[in-house]
Amino acid sequence: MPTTHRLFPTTLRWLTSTSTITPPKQFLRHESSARRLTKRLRLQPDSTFLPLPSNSIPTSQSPHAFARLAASTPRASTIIYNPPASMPSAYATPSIFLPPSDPRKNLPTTSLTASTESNTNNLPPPLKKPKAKKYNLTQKEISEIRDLRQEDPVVNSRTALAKTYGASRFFVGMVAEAGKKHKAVMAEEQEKVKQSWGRKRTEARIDRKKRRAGWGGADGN
Amino acid sequence: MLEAASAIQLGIKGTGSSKQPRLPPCRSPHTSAKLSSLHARLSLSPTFPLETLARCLIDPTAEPNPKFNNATLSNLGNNLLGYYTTEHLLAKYPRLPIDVLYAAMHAYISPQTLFQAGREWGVEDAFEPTLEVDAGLLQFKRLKPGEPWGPERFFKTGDESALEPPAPATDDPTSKSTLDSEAEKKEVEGIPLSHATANFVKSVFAGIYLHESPSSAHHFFRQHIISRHLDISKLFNFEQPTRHLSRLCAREGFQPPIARLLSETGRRSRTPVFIVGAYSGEERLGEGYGASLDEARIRAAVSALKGWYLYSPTEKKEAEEEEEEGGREFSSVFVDVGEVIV
Repeated sequence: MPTTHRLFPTTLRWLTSTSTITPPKQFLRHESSARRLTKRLRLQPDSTFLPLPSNSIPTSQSPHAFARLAASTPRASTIIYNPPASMPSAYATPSIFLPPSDPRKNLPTTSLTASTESNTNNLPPPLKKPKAKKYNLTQKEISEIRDLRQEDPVVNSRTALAKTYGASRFFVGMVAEAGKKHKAVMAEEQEKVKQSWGRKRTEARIDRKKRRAGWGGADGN
Repeated sequence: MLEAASAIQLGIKGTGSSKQPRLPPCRSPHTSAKLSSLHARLSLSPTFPLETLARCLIDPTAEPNPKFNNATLSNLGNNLLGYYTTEHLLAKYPRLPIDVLYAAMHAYISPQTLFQAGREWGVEDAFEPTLEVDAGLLQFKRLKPGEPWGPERFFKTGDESALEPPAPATDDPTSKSTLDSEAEKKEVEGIPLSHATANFVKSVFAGIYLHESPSSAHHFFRQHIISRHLDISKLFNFEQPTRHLSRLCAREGFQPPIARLLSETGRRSRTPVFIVGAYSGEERLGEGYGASLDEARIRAAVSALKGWYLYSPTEKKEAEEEEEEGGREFSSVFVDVGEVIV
């Protein structure tokens, strides 16, 4: 730290001196440290707590221009609304959900829709790349899938059929459900796997299931 | 009112016999300080007589004759409360799913809630419904410990008559046979304190409706029931929120919902936080937080669905308020097409 380098020769000079007698008592301190400390401790309020003068508009060059107190800044007559960061209220209906008869439908923006999101490019990134649905299978192919699955559910598994027909595993499972017998066999196998789990994994799975059950609103959030 | 007064004169046990036992003065509604103070505490109108308030306090388990107990009053009060609560909820939140509507109604007018309301009104109960007790005490026969109450009570035997819950006398109350069978059926039974108090509260609503006016009953309802705090947004529990939301968007013709990452912190840490927004096109439908992307995505869908179902119109007109204004033409409230079938 530059401060240490600067302080060292001044404060520790008497230690390095060749004199054997006790150095005279004198008050040693950096002449500007007290002032600097006071200055450093003098915290300005957060910019969001400062009132907004009517004449200042934040620009890209000076985004915090409005945050500085000026002589013209009204002090007592301004309402400062600065709520802590929190989830939006469940009772605030997005404007797209308002029925056409509602007078709020015609308001320009709501609190949920930021005005900066004027076009699709400015939207936040999606979690998964949205995929367009293909709708590539005809009724004939679907009945083929059903027949194959009924014939041999082990060979014609969901994954295999999905690969052959260019559909998703979810779609294959939806149109061609496996027979009860095959389902029972699979459940038995799954049960065997679960039996081989240790205590930690079993408990972790139970906990995860419980947590997940609350996400739909049951946990009160 | 006259019937109630005659009940007091006849006494509890003397209704069927020609001999009428003399009642102690405490049985008279006009000498009971408790009754008068309860009347004053509830700010009831002078047109609501003390005799009716005394009748409201007599449960069918204490006095089987429906002319002198609160069975009919509590039945009317029950219907009034059900109607007012449904109307209030559907006028305020027209899109509520039926399960949430039932849960909200239960929260407002279940026997447990009405029991609390009765306690807050300062209604005290007599330990045993005897002649000496004050007319201002709630009189009922207590359920014996271990005796069944609820559905198992009504379905304990196989015979047909037991399948019907013992509804308050809806037939001709003057018929002697009805009275006798009612009396026989009710004589051995008891009722929990909470349900007896709830029946009293319902009876007071019916009394106001009959003696004052329907609008007074509605006003009383708003003051004592709707004033209770209930956060309806906490009553939801979606089983498949993301699928529910995409079905909703498909039904309403919105663009399919897309989860977008609004902000995140500590992705590689032990306690990450993700904020995800559910978007339909450029519109943000809702946002959710979570320790995993999946959790945040699901919560965002839940938030969006709550935004849909908790829509509240700007004008909340209930039929009673329209009646009060008088001469105003009836305009229907917003009626939704119904909840999404997932």
